[in-house]
Amino acid sequence: MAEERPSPTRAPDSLEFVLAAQAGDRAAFDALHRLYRSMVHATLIVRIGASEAEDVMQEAFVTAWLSLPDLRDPAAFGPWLQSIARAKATDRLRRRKKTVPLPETLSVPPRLTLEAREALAALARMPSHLSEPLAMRLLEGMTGPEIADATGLTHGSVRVTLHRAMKRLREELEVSHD
Amino acid sequence: MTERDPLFDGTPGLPEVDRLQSLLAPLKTEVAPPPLPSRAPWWRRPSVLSAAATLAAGLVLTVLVAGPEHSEVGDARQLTPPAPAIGGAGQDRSLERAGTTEPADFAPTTSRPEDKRKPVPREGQRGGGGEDVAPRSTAPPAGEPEYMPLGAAPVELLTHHEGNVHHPQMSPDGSELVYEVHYPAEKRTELWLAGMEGRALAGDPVMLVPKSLGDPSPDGSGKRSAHSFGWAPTGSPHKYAYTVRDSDGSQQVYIDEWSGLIAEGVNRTPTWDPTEARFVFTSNRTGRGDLYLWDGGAELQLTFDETHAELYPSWAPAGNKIAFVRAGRGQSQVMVLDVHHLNSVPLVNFSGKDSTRPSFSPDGGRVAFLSNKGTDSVMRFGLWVVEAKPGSTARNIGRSVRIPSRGALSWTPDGRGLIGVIDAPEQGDPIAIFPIDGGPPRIVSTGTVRNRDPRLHVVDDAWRLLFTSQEAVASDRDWHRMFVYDIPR
Repeated sequence: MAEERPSPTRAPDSLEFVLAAQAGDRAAFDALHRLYRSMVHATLIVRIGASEAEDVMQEAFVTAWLSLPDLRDPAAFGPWLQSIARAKATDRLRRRKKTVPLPETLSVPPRLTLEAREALAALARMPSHLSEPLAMRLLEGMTGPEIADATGLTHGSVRVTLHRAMKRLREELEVSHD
Repeated sequence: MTERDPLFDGTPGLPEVDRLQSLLAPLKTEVAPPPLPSRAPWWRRPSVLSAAATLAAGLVLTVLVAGPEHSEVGDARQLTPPAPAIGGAGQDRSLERAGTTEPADFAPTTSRPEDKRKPVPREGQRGGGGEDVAPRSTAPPAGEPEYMPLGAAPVELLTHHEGNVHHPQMSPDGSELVYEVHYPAEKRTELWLAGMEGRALAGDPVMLVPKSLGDPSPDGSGKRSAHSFGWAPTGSPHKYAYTVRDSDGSQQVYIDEWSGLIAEGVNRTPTWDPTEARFVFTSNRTGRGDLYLWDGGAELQLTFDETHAELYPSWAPAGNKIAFVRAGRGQSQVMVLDVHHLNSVPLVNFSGKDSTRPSFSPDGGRVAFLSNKGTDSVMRFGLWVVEAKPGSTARNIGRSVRIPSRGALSWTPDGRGLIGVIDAPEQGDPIAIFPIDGGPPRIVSTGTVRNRDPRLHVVDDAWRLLFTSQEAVASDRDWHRMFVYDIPR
């Protein structure tokens, strides 16, 4: 059945793209953007909310593009990119504290149902090592092996984390319903 | 056997997870890549150079208006020459032609309304990159696409792989076919070889595995991907070469009927000389990526460039030249290497833009390439053609063309057009022939959508097109599959 297949949208060889992008090939970086944007977006959305996640994601990719020649291990592109995204999220949160915070309702797109907003809020309350992989799974539709490939974690680690995160999400949702 | 785990596998089966996934699906990102800035240091960026050049020109003007400044040394009166303008028309550009400096075409002189930074070319003057001297047409091809007459329906080459089929290539005699299968979940690529009879596969495909390499270890640490396949020319003692990548990131080139491996550094893209049993490949063994020639066992370094990477080689049909891409410092340019003298010259230099995937025409007289010059995004590429000699005028013959997953676009055997995929998802990414005279593209009526990697072969006088596509009723969850189609002529 088609539904049982993992996403076939991944490109053949991301290491090739990293090497080519390091050399300045923007088309290769375009391919990397398609491959890794889900991972980066999920990493950001649980940290800074949905309304700013895409903007910060683009900032992270531009920083990655400029810093890519300095990346020593091209095979570590995914974890390296994720660390850039986390740093960008921290910066954004720091800047937010210096300005007037947005009302909570504005950080969530209005197209989401109430139940979806509760789930998103519950994810945001969880520790990031649990919420990030679960957001990749639930928001972006990534499979466990795809999450492992993108983040550099082992399959076993992702499997265990996803189950722990799901358990924690249930608890968070129950609390919010009480 | 591992137990089924829908949460990890990404398969349906847990109502709670499926429900959360559908609730949160609107948040999934589909955003396009951001505009990418130049990686050049700030003092070499066009805006800074332009400002510096303007300042220098202003100083020159001041000096000229005020008259030459006199200085006295002893009893002699000397004239102090004015400082030269940066990148002016009279500046020696031999270094730039030799590919050792950044292109210095950010002069303040104004000659063309579309690009005020270009210097005024003198009559009869020739430069290294053709576009610096010769005026060129940047106008997009005129007219709407035309549809070619329908031929026989495309035939799917059934393979039953649970992965995406990419980049099918027919052997020079048309009797065999090799294709890549990419397994997204495992992030692994395999190469498969099959016989061909007419427009159908003959027998079961077999996976290409280098005999000289052991099996991957059971814990997955030896996971390998095979890709970047290239057929050797007819009459060669070797049949093909391809790249094998280990899980540690190393990449070796495996050559059929040869006991060794090209193993030093990260090696890729073996591209055979169409006239001899030798191929050019890229390797990072000495720095940022250079071209090397494998000649029956010896490996000869062809380019020596510590600041750029040399990529995407493509042979001239006579085997005497190689077109390739010199990438880095915020731009990529098409170069041509003379294989006998080992000197390379820029063929196309669109400053600050990317030009990539060059390929020689069947008569060797022209080179086609893709470039983001003149497009509305650095990620959108047009198709260009240029005479295969420095100083020629590049012409834009296609507006928006998808970059193939490997290699360059195919020329038609008569050299009058190139075959590629129009980057138009809303129209199904149709395959089209782009006439080199700049006329409207002719859509190949395959009836398929999300087409990729079209490659044209002449078999029994037929123009046989191999390509991949997703289903006509497109779905993100369908694999790319392989089709063959005879283009009606």
